[in-house]
Amino acid sequence: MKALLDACVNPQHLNTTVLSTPDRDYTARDFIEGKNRVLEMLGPGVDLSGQRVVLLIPDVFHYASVIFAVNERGGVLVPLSLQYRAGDLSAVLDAVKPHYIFTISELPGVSFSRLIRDWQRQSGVQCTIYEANNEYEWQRTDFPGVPAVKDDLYRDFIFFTSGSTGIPKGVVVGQENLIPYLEVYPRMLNMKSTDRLFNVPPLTLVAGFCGLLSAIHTGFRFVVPGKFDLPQIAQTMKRTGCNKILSTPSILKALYTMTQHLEPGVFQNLDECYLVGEMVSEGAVNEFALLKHARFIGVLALSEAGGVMTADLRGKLEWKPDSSVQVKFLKENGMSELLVKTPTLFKNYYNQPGMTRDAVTEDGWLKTGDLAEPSEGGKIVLIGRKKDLIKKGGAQVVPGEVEKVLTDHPCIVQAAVVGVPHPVFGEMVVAFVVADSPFEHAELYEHCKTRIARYKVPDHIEIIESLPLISGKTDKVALRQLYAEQDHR
Amino acid sequence: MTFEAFCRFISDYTHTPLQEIKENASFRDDLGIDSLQMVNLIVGLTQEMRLGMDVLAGSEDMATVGKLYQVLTRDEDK
Repeated sequence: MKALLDACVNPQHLNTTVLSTPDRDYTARDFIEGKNRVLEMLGPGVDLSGQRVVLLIPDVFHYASVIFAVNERGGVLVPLSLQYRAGDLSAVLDAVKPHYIFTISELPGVSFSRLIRDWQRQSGVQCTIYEANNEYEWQRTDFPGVPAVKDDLYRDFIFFTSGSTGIPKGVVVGQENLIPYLEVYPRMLNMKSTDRLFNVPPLTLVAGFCGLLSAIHTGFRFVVPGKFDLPQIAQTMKRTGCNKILSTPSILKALYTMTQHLEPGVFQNLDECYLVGEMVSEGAVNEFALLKHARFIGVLALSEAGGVMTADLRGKLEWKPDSSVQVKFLKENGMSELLVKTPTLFKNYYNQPGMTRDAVTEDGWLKTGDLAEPSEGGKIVLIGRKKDLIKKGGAQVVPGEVEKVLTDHPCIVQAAVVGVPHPVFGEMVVAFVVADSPFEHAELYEHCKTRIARYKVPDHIEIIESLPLISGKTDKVALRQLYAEQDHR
Repeated sequence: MTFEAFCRFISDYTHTPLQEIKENASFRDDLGIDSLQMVNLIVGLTQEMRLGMDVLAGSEDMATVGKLYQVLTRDEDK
């Protein structure tokens, strides 16, 4: 099996600009050189087969250079979100027990060097840490401890999301499952080598990362934001002449709201907008007056399955599966769940065989958790979610994880977290808590902020005497209704 | 709107302790407010103050609490 970068590079596009950040452009050749510099630093002959390498790197070029080098040496890559804080980061590191960590030393308001050293001291796992500041001169430190076992994995990736009980869920994707993205991604997004795509999804998720791989392969330009600064994003789109955007609906709306008067031309240049990560309601796209001429296409993609299907958001909301995707429907308890088989299907959840068995049937169909029904001409109508998941600004918030953090507070005995529609976030996180002694609201927010990523912190916390129950479980429908009936000015 | 009322609004809206909201505090680096929360805050503030988004000319206008206050209240006396 060729290493990942060798499999992606297309000699025809070697000198084409395939990645643009706010201040730099990179060709495919630059990635080969970046990878070689990391290989040189790792030293000759280092074999990383079965060894887990965690990445916390904000700069896309250096992030990808480390990935390509580690992959060439056989390592298992574990890219992590830079939004993690002490609680969720150490939960993931406990689950991974990495052999190596490549990390930025610090970002504003958070020292990853300190968080990782704290974790290493507490866990006692033997680990090599490479740290860098913004100049990306990697400094190596070896920490002694108990050696972690190696996996029977070679050149695989583990992409992390939160599990329902607060246990992190690592989606294992083999390199052989990434390669088909090189065809599926450009097909679903209708990409030609002349296109310039502004990409919002983070590259720590499989879909974001495969966008970059597809650009290297197909020769289109993949444009990414540096930090999340909306006026800077508009300027980057202007500088690079983007004609397409892939975004969550909430971020496109925020970008449009904040910058349409600053850079109207940026929106007039867009001829295709791809929306991913949140449900879109019919007619929602009509509010973008400057984008009247543009096509709006919804994309349904899952870490476990890759890109599944698309829908014309200007028409009736019906979804058309990609030609590489097989679909069927599982009827249970009067509900019809969408099942898919794709060439980009994941292998399993890392060290969670029970979770994997619940998600994938014995004959290899993934249960998507989306309730759906077949429509005419092989199209599909999505009805709702079976799983209890909040989609806030395109990021997934698992209620169970937030509930656990809330009940870890000494005054809180029970907690229930629900998603409620919100004009900017798409959905916001609302928590209902039962307390056995008085507490300060502000203090409970701080308790959450130091333990989990900011987007998971409840936007509202309501005190309730007891949680409503239905068939022995918390009645979240009643809680959503209760919230809607209150006046929240 | 007074600066004190402005800070209280930000504190309530973003669940950030009032004592952290100082004139030179950076929204991103000191208050840990991410981009989407920032948009939400600005939508909330402009509604409260009955202003349009076009009062903001770029990232610098939203960098610190004091700068945002200055930009949003620029025309109050007129």
